[in-house]
Amino acid sequence: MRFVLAILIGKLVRFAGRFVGRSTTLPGQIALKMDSTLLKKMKFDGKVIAVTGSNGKTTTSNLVAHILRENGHTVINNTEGSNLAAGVATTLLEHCTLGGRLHSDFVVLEVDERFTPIVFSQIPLDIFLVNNLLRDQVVRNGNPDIILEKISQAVPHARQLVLNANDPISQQLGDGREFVTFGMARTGRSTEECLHLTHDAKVCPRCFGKLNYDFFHYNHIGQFCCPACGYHTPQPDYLAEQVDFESGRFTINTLPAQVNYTTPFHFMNTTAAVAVCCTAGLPLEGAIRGAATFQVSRERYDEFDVDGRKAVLMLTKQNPVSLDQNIAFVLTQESPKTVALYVNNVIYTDDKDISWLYDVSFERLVGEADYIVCSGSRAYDLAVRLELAGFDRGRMIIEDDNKKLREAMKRSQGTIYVLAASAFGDEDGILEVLR
Amino acid sequence: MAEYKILHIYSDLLDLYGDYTNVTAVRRALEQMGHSCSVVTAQLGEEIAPAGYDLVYIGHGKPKNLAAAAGHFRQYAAAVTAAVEGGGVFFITGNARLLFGKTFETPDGREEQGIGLFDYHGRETGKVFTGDVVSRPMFDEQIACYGFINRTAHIIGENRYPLFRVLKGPGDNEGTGETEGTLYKNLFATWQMGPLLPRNPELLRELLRRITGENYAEIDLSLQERALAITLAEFKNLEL
Ligand SMILES: [Zn+2]
Repeated sequence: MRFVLAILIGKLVRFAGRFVGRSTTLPGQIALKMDSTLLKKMKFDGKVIAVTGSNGKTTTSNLVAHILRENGHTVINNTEGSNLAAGVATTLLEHCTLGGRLHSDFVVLEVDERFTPIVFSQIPLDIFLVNNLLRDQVVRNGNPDIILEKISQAVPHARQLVLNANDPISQQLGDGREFVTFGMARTGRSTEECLHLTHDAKVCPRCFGKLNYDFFHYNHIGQFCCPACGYHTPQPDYLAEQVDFESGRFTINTLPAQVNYTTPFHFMNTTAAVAVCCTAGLPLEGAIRGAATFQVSRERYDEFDVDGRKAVLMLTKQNPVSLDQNIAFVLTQESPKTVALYVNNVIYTDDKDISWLYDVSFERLVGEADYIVCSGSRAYDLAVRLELAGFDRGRMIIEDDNKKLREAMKRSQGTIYVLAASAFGDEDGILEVLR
Repeated sequence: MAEYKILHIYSDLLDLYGDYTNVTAVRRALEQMGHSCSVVTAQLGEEIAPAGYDLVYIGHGKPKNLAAAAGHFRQYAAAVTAAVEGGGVFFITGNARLLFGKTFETPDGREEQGIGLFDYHGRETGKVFTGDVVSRPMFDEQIACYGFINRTAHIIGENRYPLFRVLKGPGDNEGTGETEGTLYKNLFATWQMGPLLPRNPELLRELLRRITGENYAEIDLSLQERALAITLAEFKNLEL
C-alpha cells in the first residue's frame, strides 16, 4: 500500500513540478522517502539497459534509445539531469502504472558512475555498458580507481556487460566473466603519442609497468599492450573501421555506417551504442541504420553574435577530458579566433581547487588561438595556468568582473569560442553580458 | 648562469591532478632567472639515485599505484636518506609522503613499509576526503598559502617537523588547530596536491632559494601573487 501511495504521490509531484520547473529529481526523492524499497518493487516487462562511464553517457544512452525506437521498440529513458538514484526513480515513476509496472520493451538509463551499485542492486539489469573511465574533477570523484571500485560493485548484477576494448582501465571490470567489447581501429586522427596531459594509463593498471600504445584515439583510449604482463586491447566484437572524418562514413564489422557529428569520440560512442543494441537482440544492419539518423543534441552548443562577431558557446563539464574535447573542436576551426574561458569555483562545494585545469592540454592552443580570455571567479588562476602553458601575456585578456567582460573582449579578434566550465545555468553570468 | 637538474621520481606511476606542474613551475622560474634546467625521470624498475640532483620531486598517485611503488622505493632507502640528510632539496606532494614514513596501509588491507626516515604511519580509510586548505608555512609565518587535499589515507604518529600551521582544512591528525606536512632540512612534504608551486609564489621562492643558494635572483611572479590574493580573499572569516 505504501508502495502504491509513493507512486501516486511521486506522479502527482512530477505532474505539479512541470509547472514550477523542478521535476527532474524531486518526485523521486519524495517517493523514495515514502518507500525506500520503491526501486526494488518496480516490475519491468522489457529489458533494462544502463549506460555509465566518465564521458559521453548522455549521448550514448540517447543513441541507444534512438536506435531501439527506430527499430520499432518502445523505450523509456532518462535525461542527463536525472542520472542519480532519485532521478532514475523520477523517470520510472513518470512511466510506470500505479502497480509499479513498466510496459515498454526497453528501459534505457544513464546512471552516474557513483550511483550504479545502489541503483542496480535494486533494479534488474540486463545490459550494462561502461563507455570509458577517465579522471574527472578531483572534488567529484577522488580518483579513477575509486570509480572503478564503485562500478565493479554494480557489475555482478548485470546479465551482460559491454566494455571498451580501447580502455585499459574500465576493461578490468570484465575480469573473471564474459563480456562484449567495442572498439575502433586506427583512424586518420589517431596519434602515436598521447596528445593530452590527462593520461590515466601511463602505467599498466594490472602490473604497473610502462604501458605501450600502438596509437591513441584520445587521452588513454587507444590500442594498448603491456610488454610485462601481456594485457592488451582484445579483438573487439564490434569494430569501427574506415573512419572518414569528412563524410562521417565508417564501417562497423565491415557494414557501412554513418554519423553526422564527426569526432573520434562520437564514432566510438556510436559503435558502443550499436554493440549494446545488438547485444539486446537487434540485427547489426538494423542497429547501424537506426544510428545513422541520430542527431547530436545541440544543448551544449549555441551560436550567437557579440558586437558583430560570431560567438560559439560550448558548455563543458568541470573535467579535463570534456574541455580537451572542446579544444579539439576549436582547433579544427578557421582563424582568426579568440578562446574565451569561463571558470568558476567547484560546482556544489565552492572549493577553489583548479588542479583539473592543469590536466587540460591548453598547450595545444598556443599559436592557434589569437587571443585567450580568462573570465569567471577563477580568472587569475586560469591566467597563471595559461602562462605556464606558454601563452604570451600580450595574448591574454584577464577579466574576472563579468560586467567588464564585453568591453575587454573588444581587444580580441575573430570568432569567439566561449568555453564555459560551469554548472548548468551557471553560464548565465557570461551569457548575460555577451548576448 | 648555472645548470640545474631535477629528478622526477615515478612521473608515470604517481601522476594525478596536475602535480607535474610543480616541476614545470621550478623549471620555468630557473629559466626566468637566466639558468638552464633539465628534468630527468626515474620510473618503477629503474635505479633511483638522488645524489647530484638540485631538486627531487615525487607527486600524488592512486593508492594502488603508491602501494606498487613502495617495494621499489625501499631498495633505495639508503641513497634517499643520505640525500635528505645531506641537505638535498626534495618536494613531495600528496600520498607520496607515505613512502618516507614507517609503514602505510594499502587499499587491499596490506601493510607496506616506507623508508622510515620519519616516525609516522599511514592509515587507509577507504573514503575520499577533499577540501580547501589555507595555511602558514613554518619558514615564514607571515605568509598564507592555498592548497587542496584529496586523500583516502591520513597520517598517525608524531609529526616533529611540520611544514604548515593550518588555518583552514585538516591537519595531519584530522583535528583542529593543527599542523600539516613536513619540513626537515630541505625536504618539503605535504598532503596538499596539484599545482601547489604555481599557485603559491612564496613557497616557490623559498624552494628556489634553497635550490640556487647564491645564484638566487628575484623574478616577476606578480600574476601568481594576484591570483593567490584573490583566492585567499574568498576565505572571508580568516584573518590573513
Ligand atoms: Zn601489465
